Amino acid sequence: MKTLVQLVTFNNETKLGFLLASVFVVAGIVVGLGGSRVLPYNPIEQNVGPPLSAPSPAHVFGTDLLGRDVFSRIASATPNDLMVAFVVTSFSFLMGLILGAIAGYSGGLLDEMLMRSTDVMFAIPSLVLAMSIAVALGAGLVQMMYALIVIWWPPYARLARGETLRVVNYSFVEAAKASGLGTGRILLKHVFPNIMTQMVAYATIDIGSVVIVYAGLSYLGLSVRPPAAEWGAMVSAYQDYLVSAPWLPLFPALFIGLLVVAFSLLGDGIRDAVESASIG
Amino acid sequence: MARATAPGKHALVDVVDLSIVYESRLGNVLALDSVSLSIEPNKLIGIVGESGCGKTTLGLSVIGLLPTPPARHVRGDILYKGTDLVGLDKESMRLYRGTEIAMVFQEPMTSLNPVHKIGKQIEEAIRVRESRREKPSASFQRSGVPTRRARLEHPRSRSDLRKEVIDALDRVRIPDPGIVANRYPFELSGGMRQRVMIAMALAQKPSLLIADEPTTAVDVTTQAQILKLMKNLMDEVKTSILLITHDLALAAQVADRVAVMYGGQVVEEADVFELFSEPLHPYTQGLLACIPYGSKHEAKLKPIEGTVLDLRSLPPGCKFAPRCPRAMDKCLDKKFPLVAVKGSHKVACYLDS
Amino acid sequence: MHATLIPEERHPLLEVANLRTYLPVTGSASIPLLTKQEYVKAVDGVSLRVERGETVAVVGESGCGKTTLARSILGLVRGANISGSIKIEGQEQITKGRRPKDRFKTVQMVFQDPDSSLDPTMKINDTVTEPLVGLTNLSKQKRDKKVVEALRAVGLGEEFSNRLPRQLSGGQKQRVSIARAMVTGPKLMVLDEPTSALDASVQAQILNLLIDLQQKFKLSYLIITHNVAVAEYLSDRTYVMYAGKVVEHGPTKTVITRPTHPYTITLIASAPMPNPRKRSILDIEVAGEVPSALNPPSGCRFHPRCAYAENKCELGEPVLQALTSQHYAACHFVSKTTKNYPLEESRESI
Repeated sequence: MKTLVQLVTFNNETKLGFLLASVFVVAGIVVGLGGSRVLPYNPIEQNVGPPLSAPSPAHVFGTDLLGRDVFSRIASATPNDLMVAFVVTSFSFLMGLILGAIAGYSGGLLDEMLMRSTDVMFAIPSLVLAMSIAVALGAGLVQMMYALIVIWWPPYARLARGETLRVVNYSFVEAAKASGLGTGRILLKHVFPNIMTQMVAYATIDIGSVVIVYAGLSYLGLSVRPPAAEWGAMVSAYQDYLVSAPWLPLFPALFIGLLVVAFSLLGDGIRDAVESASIG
Repeated sequence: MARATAPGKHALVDVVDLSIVYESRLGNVLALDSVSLSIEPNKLIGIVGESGCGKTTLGLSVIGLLPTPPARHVRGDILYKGTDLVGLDKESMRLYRGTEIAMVFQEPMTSLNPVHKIGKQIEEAIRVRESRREKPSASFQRSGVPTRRARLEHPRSRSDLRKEVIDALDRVRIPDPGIVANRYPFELSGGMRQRVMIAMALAQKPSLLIADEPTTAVDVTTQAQILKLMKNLMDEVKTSILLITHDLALAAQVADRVAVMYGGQVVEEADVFELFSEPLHPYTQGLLACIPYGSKHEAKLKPIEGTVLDLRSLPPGCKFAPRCPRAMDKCLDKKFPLVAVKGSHKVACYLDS
Repeated sequence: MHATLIPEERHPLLEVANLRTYLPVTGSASIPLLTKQEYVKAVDGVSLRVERGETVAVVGESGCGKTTLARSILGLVRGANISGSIKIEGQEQITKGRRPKDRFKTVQMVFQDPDSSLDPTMKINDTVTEPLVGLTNLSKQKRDKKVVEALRAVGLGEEFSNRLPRQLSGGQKQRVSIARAMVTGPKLMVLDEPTSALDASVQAQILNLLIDLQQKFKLSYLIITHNVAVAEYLSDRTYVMYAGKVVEHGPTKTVITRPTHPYTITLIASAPMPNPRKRSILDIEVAGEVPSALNPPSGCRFHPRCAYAENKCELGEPVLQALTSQHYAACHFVSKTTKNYPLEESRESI
């Protein structure tokens, strides 16, 4: 626990990142659980204010073409982005961790199989693949997550494999074998804890990337269906209004950016903390 | 500031009262504490000590490769042929490094550039030497400032240069030098790489070769070959060698003089025969008693009590006192400076004053 | 059948006969199934024996196969081609299929590098408990008790239990390694370069600790080292390895003061002695380097570097011949080399 606190307060950037990320997470949870009740306006209710009105005390971020409150829409979309980010990252992390560690530890055929499959995955342009899968499955949040997980796990697997290879060379692994431990226990008790720091450091930076890619895909309309709100989709729908009603595309874009920055800062900081701890 | 040597003194290098501090966020560490040492021409002096005693810092200081942050020079001089190296600017110090003082490190793989062939790297060393036809010490004495001559006046022909590379490799007894010169460092074994390092260092015809644990990473038979090589080369090239090692027995085999270091200080310095027949400092005695010799049935080893010194929390007085079997009360208060007690046999201990 | 009639006490604790461990060469450029698998002949026909209560040293330089030998005895070599016999208390260990875990209750290993032999994420307590978890069925209480005893036996008090390896010095880490190896009460401990990474004063402490433990717990040791002085200090018998083979073996005192094989002579002479009046290092002349394990020289593997070599050395591999009932060397010219024992004097008196 103490180390977790140390990790997230490593330096000023990390603290800022952690703060921002926490705000988002809390907001996401609140909105996710509370729904439109916690929001000033119902995000899909039209004409709660004059359409295309600029930000004002009544509508902090203005209103859109159909008179919906932009702030409520942005807030209601928060759980989406967060959920996608966390779910995709965690599933990819887990898949990659297990596959990579087993491949790295066993070597031989299993390793070859993993390496070739990740090679194939890397050869295919990932976004195109994700889009194809999303289109095939139909638009929607869950479908989007499936599609992203498919393209997201290979780097984790490679990282896990590489780290496992490094760890396996240490004689404490041999000592564990000489202590009669089986492969499963060795993986769980020795390999995973030792590769975890690098993997987590990578994952925290990676979360930001998921957000960007997801925003891009939802910009293409592959995610939630209207009238539900979604940041990327909002940017896409209102890009033509950049000059006439800039609040419409800019606020969603801003929030995308903030979320990515939050996770990037946090991730960078965690990685630095981890590196300096292993040197010191 | 340059300091003239005392008349009649012939030392090649005179380290005088040198103190170096390492500064870090976690505190300051006195890596060298008033170290004084002389290196005679064409002699091999062994600096012996365990990890953390400051021997590497000493070596790096002499050749001017100490990273100056975090290291900081507190006090003292390093006189090389009469010139104080401490005050020199980086440029001038660099002139000495290419031509007068050379260094060989422990890990030959990291000292050799992996993407250049061996021959090319030795050529480079020769070119460095050639580009400064005049040794900095000579020009210094003349004008008070080391000068760098203009570029090569008589560029060497490629075949000349090549021949000298082959000669250099041959001198370190590398078989098939022509073939080896065309190889890359990763193609050679550790022992061969170390010889190449020595060849490169000697190509500069230095007056002083500093060798920091040059054989720690190689096998014991290769170690014997390399040390023998170094001794032979001392005869041929008339260079002095400062050999840094943790292995006291190794020093016994090759050194003319030995200095034992502990906690950043020289605790004993003597001619090699005297040091081993009559070690005076309790640490030296302890170190000798630690070397396994003979079977356990004959004589059990007597390890030195206590644990290795933590340089961040130094005791007042003699640094070895907490572990010394013969410590007296006054040892804990004040430390005794290094003085000659018998001829050139120097000790830093109350017991022998 | 014959084995079971001999009471257990009569078997040597460890008996290795004609062990060959060939390690497959993995090349990323090689296409599996299309290129012939090449092997590094790391251990190529080694026989040795450790009796109860003995300390046996295997001495050699890098590449001689001593580490692979140790790992083969423990059964920790993966994917290798192993033939020959390894018997622990009379029980053959090289059987098809899974290696018996029971081996680890009798033989344990202390690894070379104290920094990498302890899991940096595990507390000392947990590290030392591991063999008990994997090899015994003891209750947690009993396990904890044994761990405390083991730590105390190696000179580490209670305060070390909850520490992490990075809070320990090199010597302390090595002690933990020893405690871990001892905690299940093995009879034979294989120690791979137990003190090479340590300072001189710490080395002496560990060496003495090993001697004390041997007496207290009736242990037998197989010590793998390149350090002749350490081998001489600790062991009763010594095997000298070169290029995957044993070139000489016998009582330690004999091998070290009367080395017979030219390689042994070179090795002993190269070991620095703390006496400036006996500069054996400067007297010997040794040429060349350790041969490639992929393609060892034909005949006697030392012949390209040997001062005494003649034609027959290249043609035929010498076998271990008895010089005395206990001292063996594998050289065609034992009579020649025994003529000069330049080291006899120097090593016996300092």
